[in-house]
Amino acid sequence: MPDSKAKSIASKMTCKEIFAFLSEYVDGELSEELCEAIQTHNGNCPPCQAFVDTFITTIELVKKQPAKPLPPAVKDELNAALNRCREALDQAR
Amino acid sequence: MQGKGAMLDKLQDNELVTRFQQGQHDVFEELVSRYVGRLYSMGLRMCGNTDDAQDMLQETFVAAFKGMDAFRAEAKFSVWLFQIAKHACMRMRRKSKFSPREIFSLDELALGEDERKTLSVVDWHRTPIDELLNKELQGVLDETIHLLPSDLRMVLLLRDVEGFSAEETGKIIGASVSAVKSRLHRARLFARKHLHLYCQGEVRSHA
Repeated sequence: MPDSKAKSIASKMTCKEIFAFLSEYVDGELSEELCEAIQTHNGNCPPCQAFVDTFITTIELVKKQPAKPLPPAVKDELNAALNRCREALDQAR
Repeated sequence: MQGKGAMLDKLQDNELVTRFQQGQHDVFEELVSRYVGRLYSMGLRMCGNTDDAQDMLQETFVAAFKGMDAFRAEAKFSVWLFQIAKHACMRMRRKSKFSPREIFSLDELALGEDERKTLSVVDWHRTPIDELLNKELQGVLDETIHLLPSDLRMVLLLRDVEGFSAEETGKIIGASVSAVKSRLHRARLFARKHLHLYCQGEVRSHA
């Protein structure tokens, strides 16, 4: 999209509209046109840019959370329960 | 010569299901080893305590074991398993006395005037992720997720932690793709707000 068209769309976008599109923007689900318009808007609106940056950081933090350690006793009890199921199934056949 | 376990770990989920349906029931152990950690983590984050997470885990795998013969190969095993887990989580939740506080409204989650004045000078988003993700912030993240209403929490966990697509998440929770996207957006905005308040010193970690 030509720069002038992106600037034209961006000039009409309010901060609130940017805010509504953010998840789709981050997930790569927006058209190239809208992405460029958001980037152009943010280039002229430091608070929106900072909001987007903190939004992206939040998503990265959530995605990078380590798994919770599985206590060995939980695994042992699960195995015992599944063994009982398997025995019942084998006896039924 | 490779051991039996080494060979099984190279099979796709649905190939293991086929073997199970042909009578090779011990392959279920391989499926358990693939998902037990992920399901326990989700259970702990959904239920908020180890006892309920353990019950949910056991209930899910026992129901899956008993339902394996009815599983249809055109479905995706992980989606089917998480569907069962979702129902187990909901049952645990009904038993629980925990109820999250009212979530912020969308307007409160947006860029308000107060935040507009201060956000550009706040630099938490400029810190590398691995540096940010210390033990204290981990506690804040856990707390943030726990404070979300369960329908938003489930979508955030399935989409951003487990990596399911919007379509798969919709199948797991029984909602439309647009509902999944809307819930995910609200959950992410809430998490951002909570982390921002923490970084400004307005929220303390209880970790």
